[in-house]
Amino acid sequence: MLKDLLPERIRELIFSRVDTDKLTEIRMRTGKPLSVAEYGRYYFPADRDGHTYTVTKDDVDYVLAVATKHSVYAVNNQLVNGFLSCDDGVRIGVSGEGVYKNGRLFTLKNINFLCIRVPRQIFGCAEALTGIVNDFDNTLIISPPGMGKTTILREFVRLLSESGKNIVVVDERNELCAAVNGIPTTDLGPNTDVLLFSSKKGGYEGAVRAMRPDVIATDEIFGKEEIDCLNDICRSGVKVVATVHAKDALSLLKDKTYGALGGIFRYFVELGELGKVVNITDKERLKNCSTSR
Amino acid sequence: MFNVALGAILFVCSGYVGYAVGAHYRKRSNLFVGITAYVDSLEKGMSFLQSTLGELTENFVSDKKDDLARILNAYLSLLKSGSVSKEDCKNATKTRLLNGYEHGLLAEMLFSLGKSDLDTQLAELARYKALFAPITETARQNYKKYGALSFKLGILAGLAAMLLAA
Repeated sequence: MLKDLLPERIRELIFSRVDTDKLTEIRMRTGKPLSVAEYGRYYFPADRDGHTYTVTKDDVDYVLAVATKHSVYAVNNQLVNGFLSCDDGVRIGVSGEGVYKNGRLFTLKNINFLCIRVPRQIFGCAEALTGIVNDFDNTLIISPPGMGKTTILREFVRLLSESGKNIVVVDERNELCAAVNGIPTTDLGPNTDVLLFSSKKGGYEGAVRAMRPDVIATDEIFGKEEIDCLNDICRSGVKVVATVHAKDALSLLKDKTYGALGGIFRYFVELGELGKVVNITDKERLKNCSTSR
Repeated sequence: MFNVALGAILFVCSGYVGYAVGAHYRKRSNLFVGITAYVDSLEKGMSFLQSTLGELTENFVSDKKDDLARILNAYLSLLKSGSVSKEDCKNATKTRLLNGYEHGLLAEMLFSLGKSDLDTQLAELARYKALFAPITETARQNYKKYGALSFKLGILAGLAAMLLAA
């Protein structure tokens, strides 16, 4: 899919000059040099003569046309939320000019900035969390953006699923599942159901009522409304595993809005660079289970 | 003997010309009826399941082999290739069945597809449907009027030519 998504010149440059096994991100900014990240480390790829490639508006439009499958009407809700989800779990962050209608963001135009994120399934990357799998309770994975939360969550879900728990993944952006035609292309374990492109709130309600999950897994908790929903889920006896953007657990729990998560989750898993688990806090035992792994 | 053979040839040629003219009217009428059906199917597919343009077009042409299917298959290839320019759409919609205005209109419609949100897209489709409606009606009436007549005239002209040759 990534190959199909890119215009010819960018495709040639990336697939000849970049280690695609380590590629995690491609940044396209109109008029600026193409930038890529290998496992989170950014650089400007250059051809054999040392020339970088300057991204054009046509390049950006090409990616948008392919990513939307020439069907903006079908993905406008995603655009409004600043992303496009492609097959194989590739997610494109988009930035442009907001267009408002009746006081609400209606669509984006003049899109000139793209952040193409390439999903990676790394088996074994959640080994540090096996203790939690064995004594499972609500778990929150914490790190700033781009540190590998989604990758760890995906692997953690697989481990939980293999331990026999029924899991519903509420995947608003198809990042965890990388589904094609609704079928996940990533391995989320034998006991996992997925709900794609549903709003979190609707997804939680539907999952709890209809799918009888032991665990609901979701990526990137955002805002008070979602925290209230998570409270409801826990009240109903279903466990939750989720991720959230924050510097660390302490700063998160001090936050006026996100401090409420302290009342929901038992385990707080903090990630360092490249998805490395640096700290696991078990609220129940009030001690660190593991440090500096 | 030569005259009889010549007369027969003239009869066949004339009949064929009459048939071809009739077929032209029939194909034109079918093409426009097909365009309207395509627009209807897009409206339905986009509004309900919000399927992609490629899926909707593929479904529409799946059991068809007419002139519109040929045009839409060329358009589908463009969609699959990644980029769709105005020029590409003009090339994909080239057919002797359409005059300059109709050709431009169809190319413009295909180029406009999938580039806006649902409400705008549906409004655009309704606009194109309205633009194609009188053309479709005229093509249908012309087929009714001249379709069978052309063939009959061709046969009559052929008979006349045959008699004259004899």
